[in-house]
Amino acid sequence: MTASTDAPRVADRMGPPAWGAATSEPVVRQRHTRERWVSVLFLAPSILFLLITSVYPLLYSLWLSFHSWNMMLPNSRPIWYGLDNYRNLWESEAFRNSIRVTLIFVVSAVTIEFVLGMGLALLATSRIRAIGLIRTVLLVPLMMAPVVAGVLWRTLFHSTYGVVNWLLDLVGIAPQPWLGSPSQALPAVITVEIWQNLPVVAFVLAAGIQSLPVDLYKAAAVDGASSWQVFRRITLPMLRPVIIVVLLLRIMDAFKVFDIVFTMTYGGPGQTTELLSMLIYKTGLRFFQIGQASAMSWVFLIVIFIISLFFIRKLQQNE
Amino acid sequence: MAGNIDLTRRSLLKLAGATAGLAAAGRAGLAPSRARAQDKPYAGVTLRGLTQGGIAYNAALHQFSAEFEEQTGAKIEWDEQPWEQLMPKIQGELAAGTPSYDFFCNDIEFQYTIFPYLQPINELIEARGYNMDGFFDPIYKYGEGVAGGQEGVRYGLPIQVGSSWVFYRKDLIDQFPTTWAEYEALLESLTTDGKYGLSFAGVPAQLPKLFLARYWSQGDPLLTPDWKPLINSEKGIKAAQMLYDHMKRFAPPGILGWDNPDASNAFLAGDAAVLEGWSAFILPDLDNPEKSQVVGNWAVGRYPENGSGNFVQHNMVIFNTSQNIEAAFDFIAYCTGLDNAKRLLLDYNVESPRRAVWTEPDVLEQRPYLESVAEAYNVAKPFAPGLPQWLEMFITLAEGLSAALSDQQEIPDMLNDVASKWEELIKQAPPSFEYKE
Repeated sequence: MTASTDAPRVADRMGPPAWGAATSEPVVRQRHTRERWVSVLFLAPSILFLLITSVYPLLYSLWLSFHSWNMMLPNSRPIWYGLDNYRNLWESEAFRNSIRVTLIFVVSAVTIEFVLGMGLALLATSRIRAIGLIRTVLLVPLMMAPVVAGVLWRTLFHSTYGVVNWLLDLVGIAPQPWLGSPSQALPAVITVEIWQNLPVVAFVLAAGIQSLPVDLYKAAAVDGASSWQVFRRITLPMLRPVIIVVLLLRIMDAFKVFDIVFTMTYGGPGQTTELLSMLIYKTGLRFFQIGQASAMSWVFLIVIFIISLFFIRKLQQNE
Repeated sequence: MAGNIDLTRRSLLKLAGATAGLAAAGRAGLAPSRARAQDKPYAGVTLRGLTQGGIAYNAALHQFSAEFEEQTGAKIEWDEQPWEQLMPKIQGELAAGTPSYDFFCNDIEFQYTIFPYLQPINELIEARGYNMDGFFDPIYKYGEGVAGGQEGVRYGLPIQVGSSWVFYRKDLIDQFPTTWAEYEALLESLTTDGKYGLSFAGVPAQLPKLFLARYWSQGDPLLTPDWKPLINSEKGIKAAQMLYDHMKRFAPPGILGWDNPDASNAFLAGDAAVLEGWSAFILPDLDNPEKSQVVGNWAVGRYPENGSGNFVQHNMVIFNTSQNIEAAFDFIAYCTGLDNAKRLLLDYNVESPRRAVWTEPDVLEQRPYLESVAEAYNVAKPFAPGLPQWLEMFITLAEGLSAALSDQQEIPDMLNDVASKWEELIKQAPPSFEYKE
């Protein structure tokens, strides 16, 4: 029925034309071109939407990053500045500080989330009692908006009236300044980040563990392998793709944290909790130094992109 | 057929007559409405205003809007946004050339940036006979010529003023001190047995007002007339050191993480004998037995040696793109007029910008502390008046103070860094006018 020995196309699957003659190749090509244009027409609205809402703002911000523009000045306009916005970033103590604080925040939060999350995942996939209750309790932080979590923990960490200091007092530990201390404010913020996102890690890893083939575990049991050997030699290697995905997502999210810091410390005391996201917000939307803020945003984007690329390559290698 | 309307010529004539009669009655009915419209000069006009969400005077604005509509026919629509969103919102609309508001209500400092888009109102004030008497002195001194180079040009009418107050426990303090030395001795005597002498909001943005009170009490301005910073002088170091000492010796631990409500709660709970802070966060609760342990035991003092925090005023301004400038002016004049000044103060707990009403006998009878506050306001100063870069300068000072108070940086180094940053910011757009306080 087909006119050629090529892989059947839609036109061929429609059968021979009514007049009985076989379909010629130009006609087939014409139909294929028409189908392609129809596809383009259907995709066009989505692509247009994406261009307008994502691509254009991205390119505009790139253009702004090469200009100097302080919108707080009356009648101000963007002035060409070349690479000076980027050059000034490396000389800016505030920017270097925010990079340092952000890296500490991300590495600490994600590492602890991963270790604790793995433990919780193993627990959640075991047959202990009250596992249902544990799973339900783990859902509570997830249900809370980050702003609400920040306000809640700000109250809990209050140096005089907070519950945390009250609990410490019960065991004889003196009240701590927490959010008022440069050495404790960042750990406090990291704690809240872990509290809120640990369940995500736990649930994803638990789902991954449950999808692993049971045969290997049975074989290991027959061979008399210990729990640690099973975990190290079977669970961990088999879970590698899931681990890579979880770490990638958590790192990207941790870099973008803003609400918790905004509500708990606003970057203080001093600039001890000023993440890069806070600095960009402050520079762009409080001080209206648009060029500087755009340059910071692009540096931020490139850093996250490089990290993501690293993890995606790992994932591809694994496959 | 059954159910069909049988239209005869007679019934058609009746219908036509009835329709004509209704039309005539309608026109007659319109005539009284038209007469009513003349009493309501702005019937059909809708004014859109932008203001800060959650601020004390919003309830008053909504009530005044209803009254204004009743009197003039103009409908007022309000858009309330968090403070942080006000400037992005206005700037976004102005940059896009699509301003949708007729007027705006917030800090006068916004005018330093957006004055090219605002309507000067000097002529309207004169034409309408708006009463400009009885305001606090800073309203006259800092409310006109906001960009420095426009001497005497006024863009806004003030609806609220403010500066930080000093609340104290009158059951613990007989006579509030007038010198810093006496103040420190007092605070020391009250910091004992788990109680503290002093409470204040210690988050970065709330520290400058405390520093300014200690700095300005020494008499120097923040900058020279040609815009050179003076805060890193000996007086600046002394002021910052004083604040540091007061915090370390007399304030609860962890206070650098406290915001305004936290500081107020410490005073309300009876844990601190003196509170330096904004009145809006504590005044409504001071005599509420459900929230306060100090009912009837508080009073308001003045900073020693004529110190004061930065003076703030919220103005109502009109965009020059408004299609209803006269209606907008009449509305803001109504809200800020002398007639409503006492209502603002007594009914809505808004710090009215009219000093005249603060010291009226019936007002003082209800709120005796207002006389002391009025004296302080009359000599208060704003932060960097007229300078569009004011916010970045303010936050730079705020973060520097926070770093010094949390022992991350020595005070002289911090003040030098702040002064250096101020110079850099001023150089971005050197003002064409002299700095004066």
